[in-house]
Formats: sequence, structure tokens, C-alpha cells
Amino acid sequence: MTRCILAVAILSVIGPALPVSVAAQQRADRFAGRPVADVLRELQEKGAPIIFSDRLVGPNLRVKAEPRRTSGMRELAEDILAPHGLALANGPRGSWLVVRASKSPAPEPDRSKPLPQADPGTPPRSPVRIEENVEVMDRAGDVARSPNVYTVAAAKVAETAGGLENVFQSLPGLPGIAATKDHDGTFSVRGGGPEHNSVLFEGVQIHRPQRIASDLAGQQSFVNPATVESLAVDASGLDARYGGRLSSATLFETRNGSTGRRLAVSGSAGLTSGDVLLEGRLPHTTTGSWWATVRGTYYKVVADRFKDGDIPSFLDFQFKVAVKPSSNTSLSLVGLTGGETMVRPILSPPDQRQSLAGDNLREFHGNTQLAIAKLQWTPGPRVSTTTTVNAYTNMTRTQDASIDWKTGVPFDRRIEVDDVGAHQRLSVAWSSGVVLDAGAELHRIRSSWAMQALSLVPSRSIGPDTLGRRIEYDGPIDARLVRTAVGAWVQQSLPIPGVVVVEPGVRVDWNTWTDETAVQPRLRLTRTIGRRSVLWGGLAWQAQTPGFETMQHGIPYYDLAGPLASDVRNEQMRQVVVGLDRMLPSAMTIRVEAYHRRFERLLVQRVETAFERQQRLALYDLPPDMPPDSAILEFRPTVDPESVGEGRASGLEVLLDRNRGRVTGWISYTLSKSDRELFGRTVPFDFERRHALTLAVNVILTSKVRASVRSQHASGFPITPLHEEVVFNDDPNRFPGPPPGTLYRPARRADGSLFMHTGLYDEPRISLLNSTRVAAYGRTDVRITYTIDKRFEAYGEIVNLFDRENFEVVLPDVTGPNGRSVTYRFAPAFPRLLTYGVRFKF
Amino acid sequence: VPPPIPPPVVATVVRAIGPVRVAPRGSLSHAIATGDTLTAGVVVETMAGGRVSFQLPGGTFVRIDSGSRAVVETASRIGLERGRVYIDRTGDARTSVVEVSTQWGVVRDIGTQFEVAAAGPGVEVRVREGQVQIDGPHVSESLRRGESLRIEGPGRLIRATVATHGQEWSWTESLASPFTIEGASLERFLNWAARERGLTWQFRDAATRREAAAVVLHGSIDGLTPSEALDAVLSTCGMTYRVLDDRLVVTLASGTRR
Repeated sequence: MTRCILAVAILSVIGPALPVSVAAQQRADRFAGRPVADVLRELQEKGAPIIFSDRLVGPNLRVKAEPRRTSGMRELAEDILAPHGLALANGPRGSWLVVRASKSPAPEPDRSKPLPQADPGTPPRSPVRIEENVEVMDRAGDVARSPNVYTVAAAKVAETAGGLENVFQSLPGLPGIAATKDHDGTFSVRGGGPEHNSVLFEGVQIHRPQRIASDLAGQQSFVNPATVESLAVDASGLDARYGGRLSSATLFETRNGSTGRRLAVSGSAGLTSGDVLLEGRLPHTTTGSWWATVRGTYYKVVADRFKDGDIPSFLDFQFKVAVKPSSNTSLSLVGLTGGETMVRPILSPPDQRQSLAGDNLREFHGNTQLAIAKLQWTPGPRVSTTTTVNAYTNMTRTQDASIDWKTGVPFDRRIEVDDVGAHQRLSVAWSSGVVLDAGAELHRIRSSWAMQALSLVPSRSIGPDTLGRRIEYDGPIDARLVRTAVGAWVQQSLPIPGVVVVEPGVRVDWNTWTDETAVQPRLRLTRTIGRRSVLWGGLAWQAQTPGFETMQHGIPYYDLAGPLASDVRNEQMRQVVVGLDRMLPSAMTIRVEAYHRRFERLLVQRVETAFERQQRLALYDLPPDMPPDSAILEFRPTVDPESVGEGRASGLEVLLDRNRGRVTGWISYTLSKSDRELFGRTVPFDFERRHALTLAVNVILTSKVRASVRSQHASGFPITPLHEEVVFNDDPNRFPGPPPGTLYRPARRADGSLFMHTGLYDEPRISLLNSTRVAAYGRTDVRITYTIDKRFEAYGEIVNLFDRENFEVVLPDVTGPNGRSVTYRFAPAFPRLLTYGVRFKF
Repeated sequence: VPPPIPPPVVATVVRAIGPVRVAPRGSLSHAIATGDTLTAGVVVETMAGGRVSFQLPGGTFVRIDSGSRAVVETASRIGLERGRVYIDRTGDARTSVVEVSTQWGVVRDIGTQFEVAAAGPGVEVRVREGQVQIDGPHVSESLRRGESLRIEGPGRLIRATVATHGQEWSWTESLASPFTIEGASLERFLNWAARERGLTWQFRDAATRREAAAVVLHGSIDGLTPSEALDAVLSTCGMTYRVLDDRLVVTLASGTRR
């Protein structure tokens, strides 16, 4: 009885605590020893956003101990998982992921499943973030992609051997495009000179897109290829939208920044230069994006190795911001600022620099600023408009420390171009197939050309040129041009069902300088044949107003601000093209295009009059035994411009292209002929190439290794051979010229005969203009890219693998059987060049 | 007078994100939400930030991007006026053919995933899987996986190759067809996720294949994009992945090999 009383007493004392102990026991019953998966599923049913798999949480995995914390579902789950080396990680959108705990013992094997066999051949992988490589894709942008346009996939710019991260270096080799030199990517298209090419960046004319370069560095253009969305070249002129230049339009569109991430970082580091590109989604937006990139050279720390050559350097900053203010509008802002220099130091000691001014033999400085704002508006399903405003400025200064014997001062040239413009484009789809494309543009272009003396390097120019050679100075040149240019175009597609699509158009340009209205009809006819072929043809009239902004890309110098400049007219070109594009099996396409061009009113240098010739020769003491065909006795070109030049170009272009699969690339062949009517004779055009053959192949060798080969072979350019001439510049005639009352006297040998000299600095004979050719061009480039991991890849490239001496010619002296020859490199060319670097992406 | 016959229901909204409005034939427009039904002739308009996906009879999913306007003409035909539409047909090709009509012609699927985009006067078709046929007054073209065709005008057709995955397709992920992982095998999940991203998939090695063979998943990925789901689910399996070309390669994460 006493025991019963005692028990009741004890129970009465502990009674209030009993429910707690029972609850605790119940909890213990609920967790300890139970399958972890069951507990997690219970928590899921209560709303816990847990995701797990039975690989880590197998059915036999049991709760080892009671959880320490039961106040929250997450804490409870963590306590249950921890003894098994598992943890909860924060997943996307608030989810909880059951994962292996870091720095924990390996999870207890799930005995319910058979143990897998180890794979001895597979090394352990380093931990990497789960992230996808986002590749830049070639997608249709705003670039005109008519059948007559050659397009280059943006990704191929970096992949193609010899591309050198330069969008312009990727173009030579396409049909009809001939590089005029190796370093900077300038080119000639279908009988037009480099000054006849238009480069449109986001639809805005860039007047100096290439960058000065050497073997060492600087081969990049003004645009970072990693920001390019599409690249195309249109040499046909069939689109009325493009104007202002005679020969071709190279069209760039930049991509928008990635919207998939807040911040992504990519870039490259090469031997001499590198770049970093930052991009991401614009804060507080879902579709807005931005990118910014910095590129530059950093090799000066090792430049001592190279200081007997030209040392270029540059630094660029570019950005783009793109937003969509509403569902049918998009706005983008693009900005660019960059500077570049090229210096060739003088290595001679100071006491041996009497004829030199300054510490550098040659110096080049340039800078560019560009701003573009573009608003695209699609008010309805059949109407879209694009409004663009832009401001562009470019300045280059070239100095040469060598003092010319005629002028007594060193060479100094400064060219400035400012272009402020506005463009408006409207596209209307009236009905199925009937589309109107119209637009207008307004530009204010200011250009200036200041120059004194001449650059003492050999020249292939026949008359006064843009480096001051053969100019009869009467003081430094300081010329300025200002013009307002207005252009408008309209083109309408009119389908004739089942027959052909007719696209008549017209472009009209007018400017305040020539005060000339240029009406340029355009017509394209397109017929789709079956499912695989497109046949097209067309006519185009094109016009170009000369200016300093284009003259800087050519060889001849014209006094466009001089007394005869008022007679300058627009240059003109008429063209007919016909082409066929056909899809072949195995993802191949063949394209054949033929063209004929006729150039008219080309700017040429006026030949001196008989009176002017007499005045010039009056400075010379012409000996009676002087050869009558001597160069100085010819009627020589002057700096005065005349719009009387003519020319023709014809060609056949074939392109076999494969753009899909492990092996991609193209083979192109061009047969062309172009000539000019110059100084009363018909001569081959400076950059004519009769035959050009290019093979470009990109191969994916393995999942990590890609290879590329590009091999270009072409006929040599025409060039003027040498002929010995009488030497007049003997010492007494040096600056400031013959003493008063005296003349330039001919030099004679000891035996009394005239001293004849074959020299590159002498005036070439007009009678021999472009009458021989340089050696054929040949260059093979190879490139290997190795993917290290998803973030890094390394590349190595050998440019001009076989070390061929391109643009170098053993220029014959055609004087007679005993004439000598002079080896002459008339344009920069790559030696065998090894370059390598690393690309990265985070 | 007999009452007018209401137009038939032809689709069910699977997911609506942001501002999306529909205008049934002869009615004012109104907002829609997940689970709503669409009748024949309804005009679907997505504003900035708005996207919608709906399912047609036979298992075809239609996804419409922001800034688009489309007409659900019938249960098998969508008229695209502007913007982008993505077709993902999982049903039987004999019973669920879907067409997208544009100003330049009709895009007809032959077992596929594809996108049609209309901006201004141009129309672009990109094929992610399978094959489509495009027919119109001035076009008759067939496209296969990884090909695109841009129609800029009569006879102005530009064929190109396109990647079947990556950023350009990312908008479709936010409208991915739903997938239930509770009780699903890892392989079935990978089939779904890889297809939504335009990829094929494979295990990196035999060890991974063995480990993954019997894995069953638990939980829910509602609200996650396929990419997010892939990240989440594979980490719960002690696995990771890489994208090589157009292949998703799944491998065991470091330290989880046994």
C-alpha cells in the first residue's frame, strides 16, 4: 500500500511533465531509424522545396540520431542529413538541394543498390561550376543578306587561320576581294581602289576602319570581333540603301550583350595584345543588355627586341547598351574611343643624325571617337523604322624625321575627318511579297589635310602622292573641306508570281561641295529555281564624291581645295551583275557570279600643260645628250584634280562553301580584268588580279582540338618597271635649291658621260606605267586551337607558313640589256610569323 | 433565332508570364492565366516581359515570346503577325500536324521543334529538331535540324546554319513544357531537359552510366527553367555536366565516385 501511495505521489509530482516527455518520445519515434527519404518526403508534403535523388538518399539510408533542432523544417532536414555527409544547398528559385556536404566524410554507401565498378581509365575531375558555354552564333541581323551579298560568320573571324582577330583580315580570299597589303586588312574590290570601299558599322560610315600595323602588332581593326554579330560584303550595289562609294559596302552589325547573366567576362591574351569583354543583363531589366570591351597592346616591356622596326601600339574602349523601352521599340547606344601609335626609333648615335629631326625615324599617331544611337520601332506588323544619329571623328598624324633635300624640312602630315549624321529608314510590307524600303540620310563632313615635305620611302606612285612625294610645294599644305551631303533612296520589291521578283530602286545624293545631284538607279531581278537554286541579276549606277576622307586610302594626292577643285564632279560607276546560288548535297553551296563595271569621271591628276612643262624644265640645265624619253621630259601629272578618268572591270567569281559539319570552309576562284584610261593610255589597274584562288578549311579534329588552314594564291599586281634616268640632284643643288641664277645641273662621270641612275626614288616613266607585274602572291596560314576547359582555350597560329616574300618584287630595269634590277617591297607583307595566345570566358 | 454557336476550344494555357492578353473573336481583349482555355480565332498578344505557352490537342506545345501577336486560327494552325513563336510537337505526326502561317508562307512541321520569327517585312524560320516545310507564293523550302531560312522579300531567301542551343533559344526555356520529377528516373529527366535545350545527351563514361541507371528523383521543379532544373537535379545526384558542341555530357562530380 505504501508503495502504491509512493508511486501515486511520484506520479503526481512528475505528472505535469509527462506530456512533454511523451511528445519527445513521439518525436523520437518519428525520426530515429526511419528512412531519410521518408522524412524528406514528409517535409516536402509540408511545403519544403526539397529536391533529392535516391543516389545520395537511398531507401536504406536511416536517420542516425534525433535532430538537435526541430524548430524549422530546414534545420531539421540539415540535422538529419549531416551524419550522412549530406547537406542542403540553396538551389535556383529558393529550392533546397540535397547534396554532398563539402569537407565531409564520403556518404555512406547505399547498400540497397549494387556497388558500381570503378572506372580506372577516368581521372578524377576538378570541381567546376555548372555553366554552359554560350557561343556567338551567326544569326540574321540587320545586315542586308541579299543573294548578291557575301556573308562571313562572326565566329569564323577568330577561327580562320590568318584572321588575326581582325574582321578585315578574314575577308581577303572571298571572291573579288584582293588585299592590297598584308598588315592592316585594306583591300580592293572588283577593280575599285581602297578609297572606293564603304565600311558601315551599325549602318554608319567609318572613314578609317583599319589600323596601322606592322609585323609586330596592330593588325587589329577598330572593332573587336567578339562583339560582331554579322559581317557581310556587298560588291554589287544592287541595294539602293547603300551609297556614297563606288565599289563595295562592308557591313558590320554588333551583337547585344548577353541577357542570361548579370556579368560575364571573356577575352584573349596574345603575344603582343589582348582584350577583355564584360557583358551582362542591364540592371532592373529583363531584356536590356550591355557590353564593354578594352583592347590594347602591352608588349612594350619586351619591345627592345624589336626596336629596329616599327613598334605599333593601341588602346581602345568600346561599349554598347541595348534596351527595349516597349514591346515594339528597341534602343541601342554604341560608343568607341581609341588611340594608336607607331614609332620607329633611330638607333644611330646623336652625332650621326645630321639629316634627321627628332629621335624617331617615323612616328604615327591616330585617334578615333564614335558614338551611335539607334532607335528601331515596329509600329505594326508590316512597318518598321530605324532612326540613327551618329558622330564620328578621326585624326591621324604621320611624321618622318628624314629631311628632304628639296624642301629642307621633315615630313609631317595631319588628316582630320569629322562626320555628324542622321539616318532614317522605313520598311513597309504592303502585302505578301510587296515590300518598300526607303530612307534618307544627312551628313555634315569636315575634313582637313595638312602636309609638308615628303616621306622618304620608295613609292609606286606615278605622280604627286599622299605621302608628299612628287609634290612641287610652294609652302606647307593646309587644306580644309566642309560639305553637307543629303541622300535618299527608295526600293520596291514587285513579285511577278511564278516568274521573277523585280526590285527597282533609285538613290539620289546631293552635296554642297560639288553641288551635283547624283541619280543612281538600281534594279535587281531574282528568280528562285526549284528548291535549291536562286538566280539573280541586276544593274546599278553608283556615285562617289571625292574628299580627303577617301583620298587618304589611295595613292595619288589631289589639291581638292585648290583653284581647279570647283570642276571636280562625282565619280561614277555602272555595273551589271548576274549570279547563281545553288545548294548541293553535304551542306555545300556553290555560287557563281559574273560582273562588268564601267567607271567614269574618275578623279585623275591633270597632266601639266606645255607652258607648265616649260616652266618646270626651265629649272634644269638640260644637256644636249639627254635621252629624249627621260621621265622629266614627259608631261608629268600635277596635283590638280580632274574628273575625266575612265576604267573597266570584268570578272567571274566562283565560291564553293561548306558551313556545317566537322569540316567547313570554302574554295574560291576569281578571274578578273580591270584597266584604267590614264594619261592618254590604257593601263592595267593598280590592284588587278587576273587569277585568285583561295582554300580555307576549318576542321574539328577532336572535342578539344580544332585546326584551320587558309591558303591564298593570286596573280601579282601590275607595277611600273624602272628605267635609268639622268641624275640632277648633285650636292650644289640641295636645299634650298640651285643658287640664284643657276640651274639643276646634270651629274657626269669622270669620262664626261651623263651619270645615269636607276632608283626607286626617281620618277617612273608614264610610258612604262603598270607595264610589268610583281611576283604572284602566295600565303598559307595555319591555326590550331586547343580547348583547355570550358573557360580557357589556347591557340597558336603561323602566318605565311612557307615564308613567301609577298609584295616584294625584283623590279626590272628595262633600260637595256645591261640594266640592273632593284628589289623592292611596295607594300607591307608578313614574314613567317608565329603568334599565340589564350582566350578565356567566365 | 438559334443562339450563336460558340467557337470551339482549341488550346489550354500551360503557362503565362507577365502581361499577356487575348481577344476572342468579336470580344474585347483580356488578360489570361495558366489553365485558361483558348477558342478558335483568338488573338494572343504578349507585351514587354510577357510570354505564354499553350497546348494544342495532340500534344503540341506553342510558346510565344514577348512583343508578339499571333492568332490561334484552329487547333492546328497559328497565324503569326509579329514576334516569335516556338512549336514543340511531341505527339503523333499523323494526327497533330501544326502550321504557322506568315506573310511569306506557311511553315509546316514534320515532327519537330522550330521557331518562326516575324519582324518588319522579314520572316525567319529556325529548326531545332526534325524538319519543316515552308510553302508560299514565292517560297518552297525544306529545312532540317540546325538550318534556318530568312525570307526578306520575294526571292530573297537566305539559308544559314544555326546552333540548336544557346542564347538565341533561351527565351523558350521560360515556357518549357512541364515535367514532374517525383518518381521519375534520371534518364527520363535528362531526355526532357536536353530536348528543351536543343541538345542530345550522353553519360561521360561507363561508371556514370552505371551510377545513373537506377536513380529516381524526388521533389518538384515547378517554376524552374530546364537549365535551372538541370543544375539542381544533377547536383542532388552527385553529378555534373558540360555542353560540348550540341551534346550534354553528364559525369560524376568530383568525390562521388565509389
